[in-house]
Amino acid sequence: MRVSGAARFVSGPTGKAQLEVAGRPMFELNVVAAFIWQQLAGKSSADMIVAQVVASFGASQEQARRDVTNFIEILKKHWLVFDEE
Amino acid sequence: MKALYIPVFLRNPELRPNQSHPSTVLGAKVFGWTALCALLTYGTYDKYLVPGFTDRQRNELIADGLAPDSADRLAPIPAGNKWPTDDSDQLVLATMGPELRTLAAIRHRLQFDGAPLCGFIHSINSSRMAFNILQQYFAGLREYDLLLCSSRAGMRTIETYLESIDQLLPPNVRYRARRVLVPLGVSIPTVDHKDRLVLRQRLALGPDHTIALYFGRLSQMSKADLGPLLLALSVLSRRGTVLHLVIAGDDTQMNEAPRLTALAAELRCLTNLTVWVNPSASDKHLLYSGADIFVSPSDNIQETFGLSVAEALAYGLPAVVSDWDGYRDLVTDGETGFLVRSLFPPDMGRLRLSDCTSSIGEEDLLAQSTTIDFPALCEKLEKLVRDPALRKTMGRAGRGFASDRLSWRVIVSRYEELWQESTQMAKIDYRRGIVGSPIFSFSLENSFGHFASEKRRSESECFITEEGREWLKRPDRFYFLCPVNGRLSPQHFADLLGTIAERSGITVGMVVDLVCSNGVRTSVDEVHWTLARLFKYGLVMSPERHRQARA
Repeated sequence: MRVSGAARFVSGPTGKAQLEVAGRPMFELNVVAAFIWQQLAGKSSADMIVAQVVASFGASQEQARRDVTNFIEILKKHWLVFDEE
Repeated sequence: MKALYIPVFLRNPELRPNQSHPSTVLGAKVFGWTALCALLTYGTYDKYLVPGFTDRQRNELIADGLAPDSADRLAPIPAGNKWPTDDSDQLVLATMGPELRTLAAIRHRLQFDGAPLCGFIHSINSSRMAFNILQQYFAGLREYDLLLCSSRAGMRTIETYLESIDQLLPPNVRYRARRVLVPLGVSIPTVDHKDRLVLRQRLALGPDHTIALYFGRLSQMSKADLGPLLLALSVLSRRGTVLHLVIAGDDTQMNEAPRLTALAAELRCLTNLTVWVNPSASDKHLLYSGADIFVSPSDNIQETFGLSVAEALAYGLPAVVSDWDGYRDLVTDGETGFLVRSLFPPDMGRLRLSDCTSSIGEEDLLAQSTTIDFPALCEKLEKLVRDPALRKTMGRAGRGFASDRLSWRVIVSRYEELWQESTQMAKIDYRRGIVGSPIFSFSLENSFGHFASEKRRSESECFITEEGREWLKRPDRFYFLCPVNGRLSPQHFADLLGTIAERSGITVGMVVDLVCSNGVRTSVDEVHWTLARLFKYGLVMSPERHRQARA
């Protein structure tokens, strides 16, 4: 998967993680979402990210897959993540 | 839902004198700040909307003294046309000054036809005010809009401006906004009687020393010539009447303090005088709490209301003031203080208010030659110095008047009453199909159409470029073309560019028709704008460029 070049991960003024799109804040990310985005930006596949979420946050496999899949769907809907051609 | 729109971000001007480069504390600014605080404290509206309001500004307001709960009632309006209100909401657009014209333009642009506007007059002696009123004739004001006048005299001046303007305009062009008398509000303070002692200690005076306070901007050009007051102090001193005068206020404009102290020295009353320049908010509280008498011999047409007089009444001080415009509404002669007769010079008729700097000179001449009855000023001050019981009675009456008629709780309630009334009037006008006065605006095409080489025509054909095809593969790039208010998404750009890619050579007019007839909720203006952005970024090109590219 490829992340959009228009999107940039930043720490907001209150220390909260944000996804800026075209230079403007668009999403506020919780810890797990921030982690998933950083993995996506590092070119990890969805399966790899699920495994890392399980390992890092102690989530169950099902919960981690659901969270990762849902978040990636939202990002795809907003054209912030694409399947590699 | 009821919402109030306030277009400017206001700060507490009375905190500014502590800075290294102080700005002048003007009554209008003090009103703006205190009115904002009062609306957020006593107002019953659901939302108070401020354009571009940020967390940083919220913190600045709290640092200026606004309660955090009040600050939380302010809500930002995002840039652009998207407002957090619905058609069914009751919206009032208010400004703390007289600038109804700007508010009317906002109302017109955003099609909030039923939203009343509300403005306030402050100093009205400037030609800018008269011309501001003239411009408001062409601003699209309605009968349900409000221009609130703080004093009867101020209201009368506005009426004379309107009469003069009416004589120059055709009969069908009339000033539409309602003029309603509403005094400026004040906070009713808690007075700690220990402050009386603290102030005397600060001034190295005995505990029973009588103090008269003048509080206001120190400017003989635009507030009051305090020279006669010093002379009165000197006369009383020679008569054996013991009085200490404190002259306190903003002195950032004229640097009056040296003149006043030199005059007091010459009149041999300097030991009975303290000139307290640029007092802080806590100094101000101490001065009003600790003084016995308030005195203000205003002689200047800049003074429309008399905020410091209202504050003095709220602190329970009997007031010896000139019989002058707004002061007359505030002080009842013999009950809450004394009004001292004022006289204009006989040649006043030759002076004009004009739109040039020499006009200020004429106003200054008028103030310099306006007399506040000097023997009466001495007599009334002396009477109060010698009669503590009378001071007490008058002070109590003044505080009662301020509490009943001028307190912010009362004034905010009056504003809301008027806004409700105006909203009802707007509904009636809407039902009857009554329209407002014409809006004078300038066509950008008429005024600036000749700036560019030419205008793209509706018949111009559109072709997608190689760059455009590349962007269709990377549609996230369209985020960079989106407007700041987020009304249009990247999808709009992608759809439009896709349409052009499928129909090479389609005209601008056809693109607009096609997109708008697709059931997509996009306006003609938005399609034109989106298409223009695609041209601007080289994603779509005209036939000439298309031919060149093919060649």
